[in-house]
Amino acid sequence: MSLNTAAATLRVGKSVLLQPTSLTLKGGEITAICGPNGAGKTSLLRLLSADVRPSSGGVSLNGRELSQWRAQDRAQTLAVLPQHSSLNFAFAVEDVVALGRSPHASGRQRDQQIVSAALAAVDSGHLRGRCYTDLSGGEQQRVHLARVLAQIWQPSAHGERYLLLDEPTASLDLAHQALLLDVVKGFAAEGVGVCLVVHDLNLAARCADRLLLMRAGEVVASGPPAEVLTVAAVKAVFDVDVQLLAHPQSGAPLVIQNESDKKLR
Amino acid sequence: MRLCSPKMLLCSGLVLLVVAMLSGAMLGPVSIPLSSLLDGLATVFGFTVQTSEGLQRDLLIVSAIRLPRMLLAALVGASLALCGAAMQGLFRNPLADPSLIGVSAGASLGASLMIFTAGVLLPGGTLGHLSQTVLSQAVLPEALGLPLMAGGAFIGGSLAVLVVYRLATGGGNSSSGTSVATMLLAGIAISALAGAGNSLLSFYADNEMLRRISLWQMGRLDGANWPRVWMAGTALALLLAGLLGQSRALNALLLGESEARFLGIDVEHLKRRVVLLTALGIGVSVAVAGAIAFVGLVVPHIVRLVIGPDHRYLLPASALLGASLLVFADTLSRLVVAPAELPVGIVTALLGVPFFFSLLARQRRTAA
Repeated sequence: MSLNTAAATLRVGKSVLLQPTSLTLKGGEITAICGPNGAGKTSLLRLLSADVRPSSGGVSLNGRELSQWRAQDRAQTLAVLPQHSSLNFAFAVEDVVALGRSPHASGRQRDQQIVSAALAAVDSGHLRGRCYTDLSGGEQQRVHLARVLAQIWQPSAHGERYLLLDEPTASLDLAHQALLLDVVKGFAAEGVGVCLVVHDLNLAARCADRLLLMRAGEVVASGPPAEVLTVAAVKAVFDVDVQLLAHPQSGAPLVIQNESDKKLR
Repeated sequence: MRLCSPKMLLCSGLVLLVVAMLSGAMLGPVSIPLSSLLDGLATVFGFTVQTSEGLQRDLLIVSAIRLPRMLLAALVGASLALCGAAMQGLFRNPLADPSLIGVSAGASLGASLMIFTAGVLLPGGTLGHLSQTVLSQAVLPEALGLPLMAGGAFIGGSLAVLVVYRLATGGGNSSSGTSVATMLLAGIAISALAGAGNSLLSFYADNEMLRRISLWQMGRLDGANWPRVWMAGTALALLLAGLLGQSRALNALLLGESEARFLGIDVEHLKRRVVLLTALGIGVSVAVAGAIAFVGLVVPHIVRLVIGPDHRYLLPASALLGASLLVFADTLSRLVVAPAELPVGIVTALLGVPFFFSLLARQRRTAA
């Protein structure tokens, strides 16, 4: 039972967005993907979410090729939070979250309960009756997070559940970033396989069981954050000089960027 | 945010439609009192037998002239508003009105082309003769002309939606949603093309036909008769049957195509269904009543303001209010310059254009 790519590639025209990549996401495990802009992080996520078909190789979910799944069954098993949402209609917040229940036939009452619980989980219960288009960017982000959480709130009849998040912390303040990590860990503890794209290496190190570093459409390092995050690896991938400390409390690796040479001169 | 509950709006829409139909039946060159209408209804349903000569005359006016016209107005209004609401859901943009993005124009071009080809191909019938009989709404050729025009309008309308959708959404793969500018520009291009096609038809027309063509392009309901009512009724029934069940899917589509797919919606199937059904609705409306603008823009927008964008209520409420609006507008068009009448398309355009400008201004403000 896993969500995995087998030597999957993605090409658009002549440009290669993703080199052959084999990756396995297991239930209960948190995988973070980091890398510079255009490294292929989102392409990988789009392959895993069946948003695009691989140009070669395959992607399978719980043992079955992703394209062979019935759309509704897949939606009960795999939830995806994209980077941006283009929703510009004045839905009530609870209606937006309730969209996450559309692949289910669990009944109105149960759906209402789940919507409330999902909103509460991302500290947005008070937004429930507000108009979505009146919210700030960060609040909208949280509402969409609640929507994808509501989508896989209950165990699926089709195997382990997976949650794919593309830069979920991009517009969140510090407190809500921490809350998001807690929520993600909570879902992982229930057996959900989580994969998130983040730019903040420290955030990735704090929550991930496994860290993937990508560059130029390739996975260049993969493993526990403490092993993957080295001064040399960060230099190679991001082309920046850093120092590595241990977090005073957790001991997790803490990446600090050096002052740039230009400034020092 | 919500001004009233969806159920309340549906009920008031129903009341509004009844009021619109009653006033439409009563008002006109000959005004008919409500009591006569009620007596007439009682007679129709067999409660009483009325033989007064005045009443018989009134009933004849209502049943032969005003009733089919009102029914046609209601059916066309409902279809247009429903198509507008569905199309705005498809484009994920509240400005997507069938008349603005060229669907009505494409439909009328399709209808004209159909008449043109039929005129060339049919043995014995010269182009001018056939188009004239079709457009002059003579009773006999209508049996041939109306389905031909509706078929042509359907094909023209579908092509227009497809072209505009492809252009404006980048084939649906763009994550940025619909480009309003491209959508409206594509509408202008298609309208220009349709204008050229219609000019070509006008080129072969005589004076009387020219007048009829131009009146038809404005959208009008005075050609109402029972075959047209049946046709519009069938189209509306198909629209309702095909769209009401897709409300949840349309809601999900507002998030974007990829997001809707993640939620388990068969997006390709949904898009195909909406494109075909709206093209059918617009095509038949254009064939029976010409291009009536802005109903599909104004009505869903008002409904959204009152009860929000949820398609489960938006679609039926738009249909009800669209029907009421067009019946009212048609009654108005019969009254303002009585005993002559204005084409109803002029009335709806006069109502709709200021509305459209204010919407455009607001979109610009929020985008800035």
